[in-house]
Amino acid sequence: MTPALLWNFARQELVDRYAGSALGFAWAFLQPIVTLFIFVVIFGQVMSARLPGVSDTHGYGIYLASGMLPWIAFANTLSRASSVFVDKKGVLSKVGLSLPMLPVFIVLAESVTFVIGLGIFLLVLVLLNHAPEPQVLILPWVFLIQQMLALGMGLILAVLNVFLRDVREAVAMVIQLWFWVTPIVWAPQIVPPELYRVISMINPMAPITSAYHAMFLPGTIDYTALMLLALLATAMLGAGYVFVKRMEKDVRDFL
Amino acid sequence: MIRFVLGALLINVGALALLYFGRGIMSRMALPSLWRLGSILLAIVMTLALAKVTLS
Repeated sequence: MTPALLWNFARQELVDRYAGSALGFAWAFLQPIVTLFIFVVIFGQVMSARLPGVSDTHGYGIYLASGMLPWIAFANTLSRASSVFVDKKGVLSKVGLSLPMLPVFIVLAESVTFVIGLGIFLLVLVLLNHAPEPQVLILPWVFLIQQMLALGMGLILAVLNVFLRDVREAVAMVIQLWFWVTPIVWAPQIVPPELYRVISMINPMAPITSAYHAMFLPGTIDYTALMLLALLATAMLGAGYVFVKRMEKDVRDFL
Repeated sequence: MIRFVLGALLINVGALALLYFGRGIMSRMALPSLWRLGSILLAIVMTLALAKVTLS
């Protein structure tokens, strides 16, 4: 599969998402604007929600937005990738596309949506006169790690979904549970330290989300955990690639 | 910050150049995609190690 073809699929994915709507691609901008409005204005100003240890009025809103934007990209990539072979079976039966490379277009499409959301978020931070931390410079690499992880898991689940359609529903449910064991709406300070240590060890998105928080609010990034997660994400992606290659013939026959 | 930006540019442009110019050699190896993944992992880990030294 050529990069041009992958990009074409990604573009089609973005166009199809808003096809038939009067505002079209403008929805890609409107959705994050409304989400950020709810987080920053409603939680910060109206509900006066405060983050433990942070005096900033908008601290909790920034905390929510900086964790939620990457989570949405991760969750969408994982859920879409896990059903990609079934969703694209029409194309797969007509054209000999590379199975392991096919879900990459989902990563591209979700990355575009994330970049739009992040751009609006940075604009909101400028309006609030809140400067990000210098660690924000590592954001592209942290995003790359989480998307590699989502793609690796998505590849394995996509093969399983071909033979057992319940996988798609199970993935949606697991993502919901996963959201609540990740420090996105809750702060690590509110749970016992021993429990948070266990959560950090079993949930790869916990150190990743904490890293995003430390990019926009005072805090430290656990670089060692991120390096280990980079290793895990690469191993997962490698395993997914080998698994799809091994099962390619069966997947094509079954589809 | 400047040290990180310049170092990260060097590491990642180097990794991209390795992937681009080494694609002929990699394609002759067993499982070339895994070698490419290894190069990406190395670039990420080196960038994070650089960030640990220069940004924290």
